[in-house]
Amino acid sequence: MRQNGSGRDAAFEEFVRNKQVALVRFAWLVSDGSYAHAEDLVQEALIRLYGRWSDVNDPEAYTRTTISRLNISVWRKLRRETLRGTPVDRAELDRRLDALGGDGRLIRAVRALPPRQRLVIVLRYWCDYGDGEIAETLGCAQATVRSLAHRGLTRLREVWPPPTQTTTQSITGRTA
Amino acid sequence: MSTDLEQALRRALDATGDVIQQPRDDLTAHVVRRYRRRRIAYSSAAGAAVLAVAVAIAGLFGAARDDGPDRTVNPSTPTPTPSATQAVAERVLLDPAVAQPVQIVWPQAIRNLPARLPNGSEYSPLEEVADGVFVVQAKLGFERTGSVYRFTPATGELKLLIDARKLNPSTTRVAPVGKAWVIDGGTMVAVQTLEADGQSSIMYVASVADGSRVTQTNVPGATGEVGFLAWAQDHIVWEGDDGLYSATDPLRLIPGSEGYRLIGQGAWAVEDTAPGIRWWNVATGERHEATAGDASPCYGTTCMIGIGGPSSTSYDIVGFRGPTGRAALVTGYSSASRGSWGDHFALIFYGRADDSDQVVLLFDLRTKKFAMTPYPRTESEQMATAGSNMNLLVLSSSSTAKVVINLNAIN
Repeated sequence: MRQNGSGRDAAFEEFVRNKQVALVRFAWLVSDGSYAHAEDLVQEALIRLYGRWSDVNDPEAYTRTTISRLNISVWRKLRRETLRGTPVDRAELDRRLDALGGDGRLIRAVRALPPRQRLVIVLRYWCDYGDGEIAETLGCAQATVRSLAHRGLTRLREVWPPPTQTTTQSITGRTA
Repeated sequence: MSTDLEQALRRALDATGDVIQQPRDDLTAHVVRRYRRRRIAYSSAAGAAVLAVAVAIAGLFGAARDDGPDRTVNPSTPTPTPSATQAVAERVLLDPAVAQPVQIVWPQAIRNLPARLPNGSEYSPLEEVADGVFVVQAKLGFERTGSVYRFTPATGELKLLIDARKLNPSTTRVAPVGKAWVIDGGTMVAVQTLEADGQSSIMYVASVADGSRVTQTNVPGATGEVGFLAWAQDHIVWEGDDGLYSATDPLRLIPGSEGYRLIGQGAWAVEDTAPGIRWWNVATGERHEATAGDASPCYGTTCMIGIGGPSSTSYDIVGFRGPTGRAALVTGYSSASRGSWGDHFALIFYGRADDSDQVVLLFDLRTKKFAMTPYPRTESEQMATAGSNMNLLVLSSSSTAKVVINLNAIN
């Protein structure tokens, strides 16, 4: 049981201060929207966390699960339009991804996966979740997690390694 | 053993730290403020109506309505083909700041339902299939999906259409079936059984009239829970992670359907093809394509509305001209969002300019009336919009009553 009342705000603030960058990174990776959309997911998840602060034992896991479910929830499956007062600007993010070279291309490929495949890949390879934890997060069977991961990796293999990198590795291997 | 790809994935995902910028400094205060505002907003139906986004709607629907079903639109014909100039002249200012609650604007469409079914179950209303007759799905525990009923609140009649436990007695899942889909114009209801560990499941379709089985299909375990389900003439189609599948061949993608998604408008599916959208009716084969950015609001078979904020925000909604002359299907298009609406309403989910609490604006494309309702609070309420055509929206739900609006009841 976590503290409630006046202690809640201080503890919550410390949690947000320590984890907000990681949470926004997570939200950005699992969503196919903009950076602003990722921030919105995090905010929504944090609002829900704040309301249940005294009941949540692992706030980071709770927030990640909430972000995951919000991102693939029925609400979003219905693909209703969300209009916001600020325009989406992807140029800066695109520039930063370009600067990462092959890693940036792989991140783009991950973000182009269907939502549940993308979520499984991120939870497994960035959050180091086991299939059981992922299944719990998604609310599905472990076999479904394995299937989604397999399909996601199959898709990623279509774009990785990039052709030039294959050639380089091959040459390097022969030289060695 | 970790493959090269898996190692590369870990490295690349770690590298996102160089991509993501530092979030806002006042995030904690912002979250707490939103939390408190939301609590206040939900205690007042019209509490969150202060929005400051001006929306310009081109007059394409009114002009298009003049055209007969078979009319071929020639852009060189002076009348009645709408032009971009006309569209600008017919702007409608959609100002959420003055939007009234939907209960006031469309009282005839409001339905008051009991909080529980006569058998004591909590439930989600899915569709009003006849006047005062609803298809509902019982809840099992916290937001879990259960049996499906036809429910007439006025008489208390409750007809079991799909018995979830009987359909799937051996599952180890908490809920024996997933979310129900009202399909084929309200004549049928479909569910997917939920199974453990990737075992195959069943898509089961029952008649809304008497609960008799219409059809059922076994689907492989790898399918998982389907995202969307529709009726295509004599069989069901559903949306998987990578495209569309059909009961006629559940193992393979419908040829050419990769990237398409169902949108809850019959068997219509769409594919985003930046900068545009392709529509495909999986049942009839009818196809359309539109490109966002075209100037004309209704040119040939394509209709378009531009929605703009007071300054730089701009979104396009594109649709194609349907057999009635109106835009038959309106689908949102913008770089960050996806939308799917019928030919009658646009549901616009607004965050305010200061990114605080959200509200839903309901805009009647035919009459250009609009109204607002607070953002739904829980997924169980959101599920109420998940029938075949998303005609039912839950406005409020308490321990004593539910209030819903049936969009079909608005002429």
